[in-house]
Amino acid sequence: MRFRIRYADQIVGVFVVLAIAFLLFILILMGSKQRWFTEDYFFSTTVRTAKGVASGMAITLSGIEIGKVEDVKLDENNNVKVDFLIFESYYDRVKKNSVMQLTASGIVGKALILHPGINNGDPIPPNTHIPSLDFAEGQKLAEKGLVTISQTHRSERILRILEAVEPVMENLQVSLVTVNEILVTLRDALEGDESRALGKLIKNIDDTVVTIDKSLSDTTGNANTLINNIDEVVKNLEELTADPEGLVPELLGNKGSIAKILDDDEVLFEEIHTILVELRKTAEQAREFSTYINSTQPQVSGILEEGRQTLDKTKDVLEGLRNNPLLRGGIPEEREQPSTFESYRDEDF
Amino acid sequence: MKDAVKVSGLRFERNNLLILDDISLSFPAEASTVVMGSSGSGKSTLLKIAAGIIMPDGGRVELYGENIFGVGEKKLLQLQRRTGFVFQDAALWANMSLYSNMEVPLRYHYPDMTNEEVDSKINQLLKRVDFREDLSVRPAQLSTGEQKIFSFLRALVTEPELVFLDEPTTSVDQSSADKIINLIRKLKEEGKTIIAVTHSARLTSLIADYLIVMGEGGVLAEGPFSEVIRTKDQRVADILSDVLDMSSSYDTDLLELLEPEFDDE
Amino acid sequence: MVARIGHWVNGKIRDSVYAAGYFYETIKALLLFFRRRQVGYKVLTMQMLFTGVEALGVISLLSLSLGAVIIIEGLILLPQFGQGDLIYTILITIITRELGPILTAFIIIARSGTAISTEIGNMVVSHEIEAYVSFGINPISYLVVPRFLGVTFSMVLLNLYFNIFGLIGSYLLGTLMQPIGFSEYLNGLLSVLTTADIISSLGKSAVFGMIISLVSTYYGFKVERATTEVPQKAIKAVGHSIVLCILANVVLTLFYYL
Repeated sequence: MRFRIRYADQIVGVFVVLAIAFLLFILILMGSKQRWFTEDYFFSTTVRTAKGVASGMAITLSGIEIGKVEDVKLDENNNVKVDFLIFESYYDRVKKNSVMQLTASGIVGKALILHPGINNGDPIPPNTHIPSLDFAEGQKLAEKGLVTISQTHRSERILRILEAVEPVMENLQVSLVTVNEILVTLRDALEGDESRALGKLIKNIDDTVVTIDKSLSDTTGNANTLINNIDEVVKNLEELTADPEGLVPELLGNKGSIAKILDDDEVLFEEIHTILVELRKTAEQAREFSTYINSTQPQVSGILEEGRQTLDKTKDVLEGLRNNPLLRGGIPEEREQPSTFESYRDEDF
Repeated sequence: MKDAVKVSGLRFERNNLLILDDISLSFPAEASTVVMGSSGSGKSTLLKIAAGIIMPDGGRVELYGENIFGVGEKKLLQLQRRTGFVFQDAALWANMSLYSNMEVPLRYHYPDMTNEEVDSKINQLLKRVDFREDLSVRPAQLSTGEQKIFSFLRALVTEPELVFLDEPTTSVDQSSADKIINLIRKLKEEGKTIIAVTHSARLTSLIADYLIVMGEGGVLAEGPFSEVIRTKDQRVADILSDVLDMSSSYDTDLLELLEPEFDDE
Repeated sequence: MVARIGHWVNGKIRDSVYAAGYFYETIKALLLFFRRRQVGYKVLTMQMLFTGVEALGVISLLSLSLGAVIIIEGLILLPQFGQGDLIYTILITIITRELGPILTAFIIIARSGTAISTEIGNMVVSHEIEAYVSFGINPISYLVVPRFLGVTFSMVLLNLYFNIFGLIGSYLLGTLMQPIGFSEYLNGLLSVLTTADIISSLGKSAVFGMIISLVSTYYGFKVERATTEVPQKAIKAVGHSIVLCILANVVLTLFYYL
């Protein structure tokens, strides 16, 4: 107590100085973090939708934050005018012919991307309107090759591929369910009670065959679409993989955002690729199967069995794809279901 | 003779109880006035109002011709530098060392004083009564008598011309009382104005030039000491004998008791 | 009945006028405090020692545990809703803007508010206040102003320490349970923290400091003569300080969102 009173001035001095030093330290850190001491340059762009755009959202270039959205409002044409600022240190990237692009939401997050114009001149003056890829003006610049479309936005493409695969998969699923139903009906018919009239049975078979025929022709159509879709997907994917600076290395490289999340030594990519290739094979099989079934209706049950196996495989692939792309891996192991139609396989119709 | 303090029409009430009612008095400068009265007659209150410590509910107090409750802060400070007040219960600042108790008023009135000047001033004061206690201790470590003496010295730190004494010798031991009485006599010899409230016949007989006798809510007698003690007013005589009972026996004659004596030294 | 209500209202009005006058006198003396070189500085230092430095222990303990609890709960609960980054907003809102100032105020009320009103109450009883007046020393400028400044400064400083311990110290505790990178944590905090938060926090603690010091000294001086009044007035000082601080907190929080 005595010590405290004798050195009251010194103790209180330290108490005050430490607190003020802390406050200044925080203010300086805040200032540098929130860029109080640098100048910002304001621009605007117009996009079609304000979905996913909010003030404070980052403006990025090659994945680096170079600015912030300040304000979002409707313009006179009911499009969305986005006012944003570019940090002083990146202002020189805003060249003539630059375009803006609003990415769809997804794993890489929402971002408004700046694609700098290919131009060696000075940066464009502040408060200029920069066209976006949502409108013709921006798209023309991109088509003319006046703007560098940066690598990062290719991640967009895989997202779109994955989005495209989704409805195809659903289609296939619906077809599979239909075929399955037919199989069940057929099995019931073939295993029919003795009490059932033969005519009834035959009629049933007839009905069933008609249904199968209809379903299979549907399936063929679906399968064709699917194969086309998948072809495109695989092509895209291969193209992407081939590009040394493309999406895949980007995604899977050390700095790629997905790699950062998953860090799985390209396992994800391999898996997506395998799944798509497998899907393609499966669909091929489905096509073969449907062509065959069209020409050989009498051998229906054997073929159906083959079809069932194919479909099961497809289901696995689908399951894998549905479970996978990003989080869960692999195809769940499924217990082999013994076929009830074994005996028919060997029989000649 | 010039008045050091003059009060007129003083009124003071506390908790709806009228303590002072229309009191008008004057206290001559360079003379000693003793106020006597029965308990609860408002002597201490009167003294505090006269010193400008308590604000009255009505009336006026003039200290050296200035209305003490109407002057500005600066003037008030100047006026109060000329007065000292010794409290009945010492009223030393308990949270400060003895040294600080002396130092605070000095520094307040003389902000430009150096540490050496403050030191020498305090030491000079302490020599007057041969006060030898350690000044770094708190007042609570002193005996009651010592506290009272120290409080007396503190009141003198600004070298006042006028000293208010509120029961300076009550509830202290004999030797302390003697020291205090000696101090008061010295002050009187130095020509200071003294206004004292006391029950002590000895102190009164030693210093009183003027005597004021107070009864319920008012002044019963005032005037030169020798005149007042010879009053024919029975109420005054009763009060005086009542008050003085505390310090004398019944047999002693009032006059004899209060007769000035200067053989004390 | 009506007469009694009238008497009560009259009394309240008289009290309010008196309190307003007291506040006015304090502000007047406050302006003169810095102009005059006087012994009040020493009282100010001591007040900051007692109110600020000596409360540091309990403040740091409180803020450390509060911050750590928020971090731990936040790190466990928030990611479940995909709102992991909200932890920084919650920390700033609770530690910096809301609980920091008000909890510090409660601790100061409990420690210093009671001490001040008791001390001044006892000074009144033992005529120490009258002793000041007898020397021409204005008790407002000598006793109230240094306490007013001391408690207010201490409140602001303690609030800063509350933030240091609550935000930085609790990080250390939090990492024991769930490791987070310090630069990531600091960046997260700094991106959420605004100057408005800092001004609101410091402003609140300054206002609370003024309330506590004024109310405590006011009730100290309300003691008249008996020592039994001292604890009664101290209790009143605590009650009124708490109520006024909470009301002020509501008003200031509303201001923040205006």
